Amino acid sequence: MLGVSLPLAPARVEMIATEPLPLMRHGGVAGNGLYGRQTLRGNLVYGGGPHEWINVPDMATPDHPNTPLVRNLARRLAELLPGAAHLRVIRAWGGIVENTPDGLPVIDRPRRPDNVILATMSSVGFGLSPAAGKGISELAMHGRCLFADLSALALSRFADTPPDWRERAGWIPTTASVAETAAGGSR
Amino acid sequence: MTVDTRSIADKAPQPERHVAVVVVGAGAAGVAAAIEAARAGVEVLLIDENPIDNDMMAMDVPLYFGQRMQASVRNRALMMERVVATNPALAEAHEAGVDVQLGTYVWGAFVNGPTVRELPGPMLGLADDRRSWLVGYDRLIVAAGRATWPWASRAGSAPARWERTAPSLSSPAIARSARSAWSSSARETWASGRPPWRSRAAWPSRESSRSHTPCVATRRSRRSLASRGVPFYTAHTIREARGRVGEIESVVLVQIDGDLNPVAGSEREIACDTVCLALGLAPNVELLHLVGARLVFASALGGWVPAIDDAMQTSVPTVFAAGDCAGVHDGMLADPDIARVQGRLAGIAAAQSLGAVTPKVPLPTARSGQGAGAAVHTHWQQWLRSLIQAGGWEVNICQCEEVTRRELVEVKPPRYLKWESPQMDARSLDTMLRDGPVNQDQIKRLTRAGMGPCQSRRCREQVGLLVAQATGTSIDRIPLPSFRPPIRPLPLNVLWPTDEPPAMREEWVSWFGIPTQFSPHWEAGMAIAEPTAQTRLILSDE
Repeated sequence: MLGVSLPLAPARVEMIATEPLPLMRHGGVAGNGLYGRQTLRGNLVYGGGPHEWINVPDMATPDHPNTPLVRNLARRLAELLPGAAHLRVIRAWGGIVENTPDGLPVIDRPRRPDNVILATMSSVGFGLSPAAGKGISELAMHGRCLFADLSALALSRFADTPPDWRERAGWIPTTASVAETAAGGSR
Repeated sequence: MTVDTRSIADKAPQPERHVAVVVVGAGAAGVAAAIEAARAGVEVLLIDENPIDNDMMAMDVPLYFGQRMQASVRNRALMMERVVATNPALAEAHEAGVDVQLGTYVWGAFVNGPTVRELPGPMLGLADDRRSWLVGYDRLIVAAGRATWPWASRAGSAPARWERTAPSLSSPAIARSARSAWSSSARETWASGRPPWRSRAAWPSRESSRSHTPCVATRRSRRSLASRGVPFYTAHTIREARGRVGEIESVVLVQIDGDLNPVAGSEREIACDTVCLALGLAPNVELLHLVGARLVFASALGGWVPAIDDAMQTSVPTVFAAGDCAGVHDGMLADPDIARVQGRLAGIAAAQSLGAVTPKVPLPTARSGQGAGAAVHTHWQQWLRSLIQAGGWEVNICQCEEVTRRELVEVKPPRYLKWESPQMDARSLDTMLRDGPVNQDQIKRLTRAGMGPCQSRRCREQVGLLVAQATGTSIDRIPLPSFRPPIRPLPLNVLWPTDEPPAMREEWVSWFGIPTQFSPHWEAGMAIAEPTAQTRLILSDE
């Protein structure tokens, strides 16, 4: 509609949470292919592992269920913290995140149309979001970010990205359409 | 075509077994369903989680053990014997060729959908107390029963809790009495148009000569109780339960007036060692939610129930629901044949949908008992109100995360954060209501009520009712909070797979594995490999 094309590929990722345990000295232990931490309540909350590329029509908010991957996450976590292998997993959840072709954010105010601001954190926004929010507000108010040079995050770096970049990268669903597999039960 | 080797493509889990029909729950409905499908010549796996592991007994999976489990519940063989002995139909199912697996939890159901396409087919996550595994199915019949009402109350200085009925494992007489007592109370109360009188009867416990067992009873049973010398209190509610750790010693009853307020000076302490709660039942729809079956609110059937057709088929064509999980009411408690008929219908329909030819059996229609209930939520609302007015706001509504009734309606951040903020202090259910309809998932995230090990199995209904009451919202407008797997809390070393495919291990990354993603943007083009399982763990040496 705006004549702007922002290359993004959405994917579904998963996390698990255990029951609480007393706070550890190092609550931020990560590794073994996992990211996460111990929460202030004491739960171990960790994610990682293979993502599933999906198609999201119209950038709607789709359902984000879990898969049996939660078992593999449990194994990785027990390997990372063997002393916690007896802890019970009390829930898991999934989320949809998007990525640009280089995995880095786009925060930009293109020249045309000049009243539009583009922003995606490309799946690395959790810790960066306060700074990103400030940068975006400055783009709106002053036309540029006052505290950092955001030129490396400009949309123009994808000017030569081919329209079929997702297919070329393999960042697309690889199986048959939902309609074809729905016979087996579908959400 | 290029494949992203870091994605799930080509490494989706394969079930270790595939069965034509899986029936979950070996109660009246589940066993009947399994037998019908097996007799039609279809391969059937019947799963029931009982006897459950000792650690699971406080988790309020649908059989209840209260807080006074004895050491004998750790004896698996004995527990298995009890489960089989109290359910003679299991032998019949076995005779019919059904593969019966007891002591087996269903902790997840996984189906393909818009955002999951890699599964080879629909499958269940199963587990016992040692390992977990996956079973694929063509048809799933959910006969998962119902959950009883866990009402929290002020529990003196000790964390004693109320006992709930354990139909097959505690005294069957008490359980039956309590259940049948509940079964007619709601209807009679409202038919009479009287204020909600709540009755307590105490009769000598058959389990203990030491004390008495207060229990809800009804006018109908009043005469028979009276003839046995059982005191019986109407228009009373429970103000407090007193006891030591793990034991209950007494309850304090208080009379309530027409506005559900406690009548000063009417307190009465009754010594007891058990409290049977038989206030109400809620269909167990966890699994049905996970497979994506459409759920509708029907107060006369206990709350959220699956939308089903006359053949017990849900909105997901491969999934059927039968028995109490498809909707429960008084009549079904009194007459197990209603669930049994539903089970038979589901078993026959599932077998037929797989092409099996079933014998013509005259069957009453599925709905013969389904619509016979009376709306229960108004009655529950009155109960909750009387408990709050008698017992106050400082009672934990979420036992796992220790969130009080007051903290819930004031939408307080959890105490362990030790965080005070004027912004949060200004928030309440009222201010949230101005932003749009309040939902329980939002309340969970803000207060943590329902986020503990039991995952709201003990407080879901109460939180829903309290939110409805505090916001003046009709209970049917409060959306069902989500269920997340594992729907049974399982240890990491039980849930983990022992058979990971090599690709799962070798190509595992913590995030997307995009080489440039974690490169500094000012060093364009620099690509660093993402940390993987092979990277050495680095701890700070503070």
